[in-house]
Amino acid sequence: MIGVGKVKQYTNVLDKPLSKGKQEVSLSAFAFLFSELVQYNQTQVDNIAELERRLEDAGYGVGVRVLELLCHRDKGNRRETRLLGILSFVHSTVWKVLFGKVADSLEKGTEHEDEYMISEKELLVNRFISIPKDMGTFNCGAFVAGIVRGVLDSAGFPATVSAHFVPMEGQQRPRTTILIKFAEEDGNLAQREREICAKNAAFMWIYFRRKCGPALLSFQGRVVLFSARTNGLSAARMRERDLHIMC
Amino acid sequence: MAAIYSLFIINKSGGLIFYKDYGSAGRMDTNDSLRLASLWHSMHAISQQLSPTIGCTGIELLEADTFDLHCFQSLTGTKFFVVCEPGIQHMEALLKHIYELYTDYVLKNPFYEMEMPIRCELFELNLSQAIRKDRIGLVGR
Repeated sequence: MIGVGKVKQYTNVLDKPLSKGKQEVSLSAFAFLFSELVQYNQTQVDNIAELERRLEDAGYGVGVRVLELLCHRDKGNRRETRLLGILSFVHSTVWKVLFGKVADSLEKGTEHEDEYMISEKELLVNRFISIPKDMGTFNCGAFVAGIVRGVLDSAGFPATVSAHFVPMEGQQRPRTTILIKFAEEDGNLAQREREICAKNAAFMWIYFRRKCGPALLSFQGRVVLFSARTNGLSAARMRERDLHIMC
Repeated sequence: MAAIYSLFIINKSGGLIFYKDYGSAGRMDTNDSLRLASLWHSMHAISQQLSPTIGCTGIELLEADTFDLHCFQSLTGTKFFVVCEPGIQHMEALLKHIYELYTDYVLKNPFYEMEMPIRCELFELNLSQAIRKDRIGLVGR
């Protein structure tokens, strides 16, 4: 019959395409669920540090899954390999998907080389929560810190992430800062960045010499063979890659 | 010039969980406020039984010479009542707004134990903002 549409039946649920899903969830529903999560963990621990660690662990699982999902959905199955790239990915894409808006700011720490801070006027998870005075500096944003840690860890940038309240003059409520401290020592991270830079440079070299066929290139004492695999990428993509090289 | 003299919130068993004084007479003694709250709770319950109308849910408005008392009871039995100047019209709306603030900043707070006195900073902050806005609206009229 003409005009009768037929929905393709999938026998296996794993074959169904991943839909975009609902973009929005009720804030109240989340707030109650999160409140219950905090209360449940409170009954299981003896002190505040332990509670914070548990909330972080809960967020870690979310972070790992969010990275996988967003790389597939929004980034076309590519993930960031550069430090600034992954940080801006967390700051904009992850925040947008989870909280509906881009984070307020991303700053580099002034005291140490490998410290970065994402700050927010008020975290969504903290919107309805008032911390009692006797809990001191505890911040339920530890959950969000766990999410960031999960994303960074799975992307290959192990880090310690924590959430802090930063009081601001002239404002009643303190700002929240997510402090990211990368675990690799200064040398290692910089070394890795240099290596990636070098590999990209080699890539660009190959692109310009494509006409000559697969090339054998010696770089920094190591022999790197780029095969015809590189030809799979369109010329436009290659050019885009070149622009990202910042050596 | 304050329109509202005081605000009380009582839990379903009649215990006072929140009391805020806005009047110029100064804050009532804690024991007195507790007594007043349980007094109102009992009166509310008795009136529900005594009422000649069917399906009565209790006293909503008490008018006296020098003050009015507006009461709002939620579905769960928590009562919000304000003692205010006589003749103010829009108290129902304000009480409903306060109830919304209660559901947001008290019930969604993981550190609040049910039926216990309210000690939530965000609730008090937003409440004073709401009362201030209400007062400005009233003076402007």
